[in-house]
Amino acid sequence: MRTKITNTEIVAVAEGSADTLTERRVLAAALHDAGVRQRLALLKTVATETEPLPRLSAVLQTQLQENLAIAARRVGREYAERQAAGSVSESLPGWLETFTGTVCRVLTLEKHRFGLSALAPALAASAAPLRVQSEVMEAQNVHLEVHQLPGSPMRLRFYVDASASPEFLSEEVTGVALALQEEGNLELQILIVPVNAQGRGALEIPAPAVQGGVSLLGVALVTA
Amino acid sequence: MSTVLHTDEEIARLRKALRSGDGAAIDHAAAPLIRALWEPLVDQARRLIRSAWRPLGLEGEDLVQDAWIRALTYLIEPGGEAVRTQEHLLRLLLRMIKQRFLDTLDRAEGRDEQDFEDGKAEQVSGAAELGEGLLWLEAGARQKLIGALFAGDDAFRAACVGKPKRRARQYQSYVLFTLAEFYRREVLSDGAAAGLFERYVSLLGVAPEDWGRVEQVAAQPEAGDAELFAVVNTLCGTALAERKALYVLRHELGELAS
Repeated sequence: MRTKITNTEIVAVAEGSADTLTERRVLAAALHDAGVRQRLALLKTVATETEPLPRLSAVLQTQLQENLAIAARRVGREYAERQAAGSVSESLPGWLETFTGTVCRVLTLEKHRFGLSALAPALAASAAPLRVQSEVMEAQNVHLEVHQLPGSPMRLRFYVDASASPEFLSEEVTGVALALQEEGNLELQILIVPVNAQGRGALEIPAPAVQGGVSLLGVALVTA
Repeated sequence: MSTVLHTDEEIARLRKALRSGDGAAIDHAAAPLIRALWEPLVDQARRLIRSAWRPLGLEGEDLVQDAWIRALTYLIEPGGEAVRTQEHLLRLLLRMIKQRFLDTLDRAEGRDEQDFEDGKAEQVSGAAELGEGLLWLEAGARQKLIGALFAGDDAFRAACVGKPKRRARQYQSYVLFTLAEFYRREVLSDGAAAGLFERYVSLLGVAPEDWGRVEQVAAQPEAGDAELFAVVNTLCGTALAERKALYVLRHELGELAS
């Protein structure tokens, strides 16, 4: 068994935006490893420094700003090239590629950023946190609910009702796929909520340890 | 007359320009953000480089450019839609600068991954290895279970896979002894670790007054296992007397988490 600590987690702890479990893991590692301790201490020291640094020369200032402009153009050019090559999709780039079953229908759903405290952590702590215990969404006759269950450790329950969906009535829909993405993380998490013969189903999972807010990017009706 | 742009509009304009690939539009959209952001970014990057304990072979400006590219790339991905204000973009950029800095430091020190082996403690027994229990506690499914341990019997039972053989306080005694052992062995001799350790214990949910009593005993130079067992037993209402009982509790905790 290994405990892996990422630099993302170290930064989150130093900034005070990490959730409790992440902070515990990083602190446990720091207590065993002077290198992690040094990194945490350095980040905290830099965050509290107030004395001004010598100014960057005018030449370097200009050069840096020009380089940032060039870099922006490069990002745009590369995006356009990827788009031309067909490797960029407008909405959900390949999120269903990892799903091995059959997709009956991808539902149109505007990206939804969760306000549940388990999925919208201290990243935006400076703003007043919106603390709700459940969220309800509708996407083309499919009803979605996400509940944050009380107690510790926190758990989430995803409830779906696809009984009114035409696909459910005419095809063998066995589940609803949800694509979740954490802010700052390009990887998607795909959850499949299985539905019963009545088109309803629920999936309960431990609340994930996240540093950034989590959004629902897409929903699809699927057959396993 | 100057034009005042709403910050949301600035980010949306940049995103749209980047997606269009139009160089002139990108220049136009990026310029006000570059002017507003370059200074705090380079300030932080230079402070980080200056604070590094070894030469890294790069300047603060290199960190800024790297973070800028990563942030803009993220901005045009679906996940980046959440970034809507200049303040949010700045926060993202500052975080990316710190991460890139730590990545560079890791490479300079030949430690690409912060990996910690806690398996050793599974194989051997003895005084020194119990300290590895801090990592053991925080690995995998045990982490949430340990988080529930000091929240009461009901929370602990709810977090267990299967029915626990004992009450939560029995397992609490194991964790408290592990903490005391680590404190005595590592923290007392290293002041830099004291603050981290105190925070760690509070995050576990150990009541400050309980930890205060354990700490008081563990700090005594003449205190041995007997004294630690005594204070832990008093707090938890247990009757531990030897280390092998701790290994049984540790094994059971592992089973309850898996």
